[in-house]
Amino acid sequence: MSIDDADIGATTHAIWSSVLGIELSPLSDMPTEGAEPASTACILISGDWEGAVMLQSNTEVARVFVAKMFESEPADVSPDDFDDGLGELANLVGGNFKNQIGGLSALSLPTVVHGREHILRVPQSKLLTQVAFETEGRHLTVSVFERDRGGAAKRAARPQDPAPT
Amino acid sequence: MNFDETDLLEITENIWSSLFGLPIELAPDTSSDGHETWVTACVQISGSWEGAVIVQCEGSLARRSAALMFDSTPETIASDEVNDAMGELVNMVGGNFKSLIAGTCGLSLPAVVEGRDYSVKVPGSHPIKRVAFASDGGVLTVTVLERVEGGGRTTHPPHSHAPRAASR
Repeated sequence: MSIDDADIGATTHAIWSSVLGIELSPLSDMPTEGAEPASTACILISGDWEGAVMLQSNTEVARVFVAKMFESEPADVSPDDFDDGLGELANLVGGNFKNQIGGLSALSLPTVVHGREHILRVPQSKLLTQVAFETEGRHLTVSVFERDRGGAAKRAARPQDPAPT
Repeated sequence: MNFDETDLLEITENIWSSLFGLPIELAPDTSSDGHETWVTACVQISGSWEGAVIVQCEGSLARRSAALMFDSTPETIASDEVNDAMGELVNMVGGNFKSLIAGTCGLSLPAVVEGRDYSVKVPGSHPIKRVAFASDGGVLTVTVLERVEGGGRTTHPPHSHAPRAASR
C-alpha cells in the first residue's frame, strides 16, 4: 500500500470495533470544539515517511474508551492507566497507519495531553487527512499530519540558526 | 544513558541566546501561580537511544521570544508563529542533545501544546534530567525523558498548573 491507499477512518473504526467493542459512527462534518475538558494523544512517525497521527476527544468519552480496553468501569480507571490506555490507542492507530503506508518508519512514544484549554499542534507539518466519529453522543477526531518540506526550507533560510554544538 | 548535565545547560543556553538574542540563566524550578499560560514543545528521539526532550515555556515569554524571531511584537504575534518558534527551539535542543548520543538516532517532528491548566505526559518513559532557566522575566524548563520497558511509573503534582513534562 501507499499513503494514497491508507484509510485512517477504516483503521480507526476497525480498532475500536475489535479492541474496544465500540461501533463508531462516521461524521460527515468535523465537530466543533466545546468547553469541556479534552484529551489528545499523538504518535509521531519518523523514517521514510514523517508525520503524526493524533486522536482528540472529550475526556469523558476518552475515559470510556480506556475503560473498555481494561475491561473496567470509567470511574475505576486510574490516572496512570488512563494515560497508558489512551497512548496505546494512539499507538494502535499510528502503528496500523504506518504499516499501511509501507517503507521503513518508526513510531515515537505517545504524547498524551489532558486539560480544559489546550491545543496540540505539529509545526513543520500540514494536515493530510482528518476523520470524525460519534459514539454515545460524543466525538472522536483522528488527524494525520505530514511533514511539510516547504516549511522546512523556509526555516532553513533563517539567518539566526546556530550551528550544532 | 549517562550524559554530562553541563552539556544540556550549554546546549540550551547557546540555542536560546542564538535564536532569540536573550540572556538566559539557571533558575529555581518553581511552579506557576495557576493563571499563566504555558507552551510545551516536545521532540522524540528514536534509534540507539529512545526518549524525548521537552521544553516548557511560560506563555508570555514564548510570545516575547517568538516576536523577536519573527520581527513582530508580543501583542501581534500569531499563535502559529509562537508554536513555530517553540517547535524550532525544541527541534534544535533535541537535535543537539541527539549529537551527544552514541549510535544512530532519528529526531521526530516537534509537537507543541499551548494552553493553561493542562498536563502533558509521555507514557512509557521516565525523566532523567530537568533543568529550569530564567530569561527576560520568564521561566522555561528543559526535561529529558528516557524510554523504559515494563514500568517506571512516576507521579506528578495533580494540581500543579504549571504543566510538568511527565512520564510513566
